[in-house]
Amino acid sequence: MKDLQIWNGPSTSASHVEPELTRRSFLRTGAAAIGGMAALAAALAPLRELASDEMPNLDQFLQKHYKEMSPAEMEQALERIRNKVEERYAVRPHLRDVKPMEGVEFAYALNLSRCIGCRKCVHACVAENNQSRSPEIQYIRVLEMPRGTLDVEKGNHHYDQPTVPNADHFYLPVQCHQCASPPCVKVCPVEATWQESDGVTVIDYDWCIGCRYCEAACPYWARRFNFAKPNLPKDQLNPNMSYLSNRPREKGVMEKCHFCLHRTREGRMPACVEICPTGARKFGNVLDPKSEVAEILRTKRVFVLKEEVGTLPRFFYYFDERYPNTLDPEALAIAARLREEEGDSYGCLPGAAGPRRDFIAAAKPAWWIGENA
Amino acid sequence: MNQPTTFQPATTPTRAPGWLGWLLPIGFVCLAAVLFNSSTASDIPLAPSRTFDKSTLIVGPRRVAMQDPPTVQIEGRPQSCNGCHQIFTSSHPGGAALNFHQDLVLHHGLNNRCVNCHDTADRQKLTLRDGATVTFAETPQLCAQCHGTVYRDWQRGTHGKTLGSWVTESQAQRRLSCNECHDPHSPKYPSYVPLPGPNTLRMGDQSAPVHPEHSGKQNPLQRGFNKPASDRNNKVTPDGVHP
Amino acid sequence: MRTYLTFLLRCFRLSFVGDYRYYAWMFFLTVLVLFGINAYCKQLVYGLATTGMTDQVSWGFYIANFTFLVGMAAAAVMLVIPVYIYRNRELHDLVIFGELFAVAAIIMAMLFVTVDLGRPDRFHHLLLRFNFPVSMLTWDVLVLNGYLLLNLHICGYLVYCAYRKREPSKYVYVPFVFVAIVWAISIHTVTAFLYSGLGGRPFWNSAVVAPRFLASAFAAGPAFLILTLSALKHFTTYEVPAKAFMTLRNTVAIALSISMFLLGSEAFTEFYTNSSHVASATYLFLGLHGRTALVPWIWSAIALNSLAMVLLYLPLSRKLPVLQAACVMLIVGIWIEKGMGMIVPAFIPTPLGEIVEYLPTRNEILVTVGIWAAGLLIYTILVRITVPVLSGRLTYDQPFVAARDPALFAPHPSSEGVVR
Repeated sequence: MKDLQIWNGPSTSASHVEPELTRRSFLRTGAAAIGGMAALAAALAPLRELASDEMPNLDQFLQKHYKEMSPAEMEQALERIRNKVEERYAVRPHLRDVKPMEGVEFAYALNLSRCIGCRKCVHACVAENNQSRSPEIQYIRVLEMPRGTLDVEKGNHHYDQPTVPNADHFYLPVQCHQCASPPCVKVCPVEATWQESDGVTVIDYDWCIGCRYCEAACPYWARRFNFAKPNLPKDQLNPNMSYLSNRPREKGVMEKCHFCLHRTREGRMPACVEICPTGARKFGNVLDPKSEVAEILRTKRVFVLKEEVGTLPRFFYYFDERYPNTLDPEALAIAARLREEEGDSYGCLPGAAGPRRDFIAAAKPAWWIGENA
Repeated sequence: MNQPTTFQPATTPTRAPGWLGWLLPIGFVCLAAVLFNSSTASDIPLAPSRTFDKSTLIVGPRRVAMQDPPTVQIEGRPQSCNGCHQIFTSSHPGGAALNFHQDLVLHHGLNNRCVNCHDTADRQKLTLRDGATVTFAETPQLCAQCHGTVYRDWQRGTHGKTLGSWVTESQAQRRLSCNECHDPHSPKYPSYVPLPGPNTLRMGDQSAPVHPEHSGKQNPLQRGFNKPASDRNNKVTPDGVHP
Repeated sequence: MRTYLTFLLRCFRLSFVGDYRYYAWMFFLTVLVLFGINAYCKQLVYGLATTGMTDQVSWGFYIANFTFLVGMAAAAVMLVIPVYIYRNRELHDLVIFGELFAVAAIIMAMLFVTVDLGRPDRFHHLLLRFNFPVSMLTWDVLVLNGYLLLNLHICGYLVYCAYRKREPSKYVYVPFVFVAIVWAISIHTVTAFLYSGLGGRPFWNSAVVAPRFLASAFAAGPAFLILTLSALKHFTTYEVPAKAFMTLRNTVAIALSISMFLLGSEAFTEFYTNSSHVASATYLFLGLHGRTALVPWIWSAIALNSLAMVLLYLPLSRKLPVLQAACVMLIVGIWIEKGMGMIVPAFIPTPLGEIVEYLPTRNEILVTVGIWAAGLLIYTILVRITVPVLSGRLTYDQPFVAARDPALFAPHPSSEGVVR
């Protein structure tokens, strides 16, 4: 015990003799060191659970940023990913790097008078883009909003009544708006996310370090993070993939809506636009004056969410002239009242057999006081 | 500051017993045992992935519109309209009840007569307001008579559905006509069953309804919403409830 | 060079020398560190889902502790300013302990950021594509590493000069000290700008975030220094003058008052305006739509801070035990207010109005405690080396055994003139 100096009070002479190294002290020190090593090894023990394809890989370590890869290096990376997907899902994917089309800038428009909140867009997107099912990742969120407000805090994300649409509500789906002044691109410390020439804000999944600053910065809550290893059942894999869009991601990286660029850069529609049963979603090239979205931007009263944040989104919302009769309680009330009042002759066009009806008076609500009252 | 500026030296602790030094290796070995045996299973609350009917995600027109020349299925076989209607005539063309076509439900706003749209002389054509007729391939012109603004939007592409491609007027682009979405006899869209809502990691209990609370003052907007006594939620339409 | 290597070797050996209390303390910290490593390995295997973070609340306990510790590191400057600008000679030796604490705090902060990353194996991407000057995180990386190097240089140089028994050259360290004063302010300002530049988070998007950060840091940091100097005073015979405690006490009292004032200012702006941007503040202070998880925390923090502030202004706190109690209270209060009370509410409700509450998981807490223990371990070792060197017991011309002499804790008369 001599080498463990216990406090003996201040001494006036420094001892100049090295304390003896006794066998006991050597054994004790050695035992402590070995015990420490054993404890460290035990602490590191969970690492043996790492799957083989998650172990650090030299190719992946040396892989360059998307913008710096030569075509040969990109092909090498694609081949590595194809092999990995084939190994994990037993399907050889059609994986390529799709470049933006020239003279194209995408825009998206959503008709809030037509959205009925069926959430088919949410699940079509999930079926198309190889997201993790458990934990669940969905790029699109549909909010059930009460009439008269755009304050998303009043929206309900978790509506689950037997049928939609719910009267007195409208439905507001939100996904990445591919903003022209994106805060997520501003804050990324490694430039893993950027906006391409056709307007899509993309992520290089092999470059992202997973700091989640972009997720904190997005005003529309559009970005998702893989907190766990993505769980995608083999039979739900979509083999039509591209490097920047829907190839299967790994844990620890960000992902988000990318306007299905593996489809749209080849002329097809995004999955959400194609599935929408009411045609509420419109997509196209805003630089083409004859495209649907250009028509909408010219003729409809479009607006964007949270305009005051200054993100310049390319996702526009609009309402048609008024709520369609499916959602308009007033129109439904008028029709019900007329059916009651007119019985058999209800619905006769002017000139047909049956009592005449004053169409204009019938169209006015009961409280209307005007010249024809 | 009236405190003394020097501090007392630390007190002398008593000499520790010799075996104390062995506690260190023993402690490490115990720690190693505890760590090694600690559960390696993750305690992440993963909800099982949900499945639902995949037919809800089939891409395509919502319904099949009547072609020109129009046919109907009678006793399992397609028959042309004139096959019956050139032989049989109706006693009350204005408002007769249907003997056949009982599967049809007319729920088209203010219309309750078939002949508002169907030509009395030739059932294989549709009639316009001025008496002219159009074929079943040109139904949008008929709809446009009353729904002019919607027709204008449909022509521009801002109403209705487009399939195939966003490239304007390309081969792959296909604009759906009115009846590929709307049943002409009951055009109102049926209610849909919403697909499952979000169930994200550690979401918590989201079943509680959201009540806007702001300073106890009532929003004037709410005063304009007078709810009538009748139940307006989710009427079941003739189309039935659509998945 | 050889002397320097010997010095390093002796430092290594010295960290294993001590009495049973020292060994108990170090063993306790090592146990915590090993538990932390174990928990972090689980996190590496299973992903960040082992924490309580979600897409809705994507920054939590780790970033909260990171924010707090960057502030603590910045507060070392609160000792530097009185000594170098106001030429308060008595506190001179204590500057080193403050800066060593800054080193430990910065290392802890950097460890917290590292464990928060989803892909720490891609750290090198920061070197290859660095989004400077647009991304505030890149500024943070630069200033934190720079501050660490600054403090290592200053402390290392002064300690090594004491070891070599030579007068430190003013030109080698004094300019860096003045740079460190400005740099310390900048590390915490940059960290505050990380948050205040985000338009999508109205709770953070306020100019008062940076001043609040600095004020609370300059309260909690010196408070921590009071506690570590108390520990030095108790466990060694190193003379800590009462003036040091009183100067620090004054600093803490004023900084805490400013911090409370800024908190009140923020609360007024939010609640009086009562716009839709007040949702996060409502969640924090009053609860939102029936969700009240953070309400008891913030009110405890306010209570602790208020009580500490009152105590610090009373003459009662001139007594060391009362001062220590006040310091513990305000450190806990500021840790809550700045950590969970600043980071988490900005995510609730989400920008789309959803409310998902956050609670750290057991694994997350183990990693956090492990990192704190590692920082305290580093700081203990640094102090363990510095005290003998500054007292003159560990020098290049004495055999190492002199450093093992318990008398090392007695101030050597000849050490008075060594460190200037």
